[in-house]
Amino acid sequence: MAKYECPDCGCIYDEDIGAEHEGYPAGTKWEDIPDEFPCPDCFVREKPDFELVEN
Amino acid sequence: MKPIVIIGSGHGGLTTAREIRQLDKNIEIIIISKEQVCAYYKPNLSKALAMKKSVDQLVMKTADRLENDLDVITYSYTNVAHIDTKENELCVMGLEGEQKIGYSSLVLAMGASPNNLPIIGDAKDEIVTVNSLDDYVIFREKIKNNTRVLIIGAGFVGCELASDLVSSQYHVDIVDLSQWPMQRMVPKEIGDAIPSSFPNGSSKWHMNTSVVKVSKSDDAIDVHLSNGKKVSVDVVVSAAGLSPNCDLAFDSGIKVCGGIGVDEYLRTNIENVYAIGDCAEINGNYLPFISPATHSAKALAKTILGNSTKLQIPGLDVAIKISTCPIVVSPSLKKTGRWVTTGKEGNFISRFVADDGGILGFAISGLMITHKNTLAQECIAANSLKTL
Repeated sequence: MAKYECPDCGCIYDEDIGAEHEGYPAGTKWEDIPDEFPCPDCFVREKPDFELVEN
Repeated sequence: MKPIVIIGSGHGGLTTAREIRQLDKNIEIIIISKEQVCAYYKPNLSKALAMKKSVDQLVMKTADRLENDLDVITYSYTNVAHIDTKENELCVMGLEGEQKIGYSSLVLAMGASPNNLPIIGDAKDEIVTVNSLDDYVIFREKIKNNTRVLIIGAGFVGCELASDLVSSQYHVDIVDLSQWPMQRMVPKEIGDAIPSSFPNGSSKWHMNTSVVKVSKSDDAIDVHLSNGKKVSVDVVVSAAGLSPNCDLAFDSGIKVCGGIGVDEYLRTNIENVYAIGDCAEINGNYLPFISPATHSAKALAKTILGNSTKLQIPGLDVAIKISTCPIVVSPSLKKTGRWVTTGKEGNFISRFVADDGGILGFAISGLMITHKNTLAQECIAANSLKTL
């Protein structure tokens, strides 16, 4: 499972954990997250800005 | 052509540099800071303990990395003494002495400084703040071998900091003049939910009162409150609001209101001088949050490069990281309205409603923060003000 990081605030999207509050349960693959997904922490960067940190 | 010069290396300054560089690979960009230039995310300072991050780990990009990635020149520990707006030139004092730097466009991204509180006593100089990485280094050092922390201010930084400390087994006292935590941003129901969500015995909230005196005692600091009570703690930290850094602008003849006054293009009254972030007041609105600064940087980069672009803010959502009671607030720009709240037991949806029924802002807490996007949509639909 991979992890992606918001380049502004450092929030990590971990596929193992998902983003429950945003409607993406644990195990949701990064490829299944829509492009307009805003960073759940800072709300200002979107999915295409995230950087892969761990595969 | 003279370079674009940015004063300040916080979120506003660095994001502006990044956005300009994305649009123009060649133009010269200089970033000047009175602190060490580096990229860190300031809101993380009030949640770093829970994130298990050391001060060094909070730095996301060093000055070298920024210079390399963004192709910019940085000047750390450099003060700008004066802006000559006629000659388009700065006089700066840095590690290499005094020098002049010319600019084609100047971006003031100088942030804000913690408010100076009218507190007396021989422990006044022991009070720390958490508004910069340098401040935060001192704060972490002070709390290292201690357990009792008093926070002045129950705004969102004070509440986040309290939550962060409590999660690491500290005991916190929080002092604020308001009636409930975050009173300026949330209704009483949500404000009161914050203390009740904290673990039993981990915190004491002193509302409707203020700190008047701090004095040294044997191995503690005695904090005297205006209600006559006295609290003994190890560390006192102030999170009692910020004031925009405007002195340089004012002294250089740039118009200053509450902050450095700019229009919806982030233009000051002086040609080729712009202001962004916590130091700016946009058409009379003071918006010291991450999201407006990011959107400002995107618009400003285009404007500076010749494509005048108005600032549009799609939303003002601010996430308040309190682990036991997460909150999302979209603050209203208008102060006249009333809260309409539904929910119970820490899970609330609250809309800030104008007389005509329009939704000006909202605050949601606990499990209800999943409804963030729906409320943001309602808010945008009803609120043309967000275009400023």
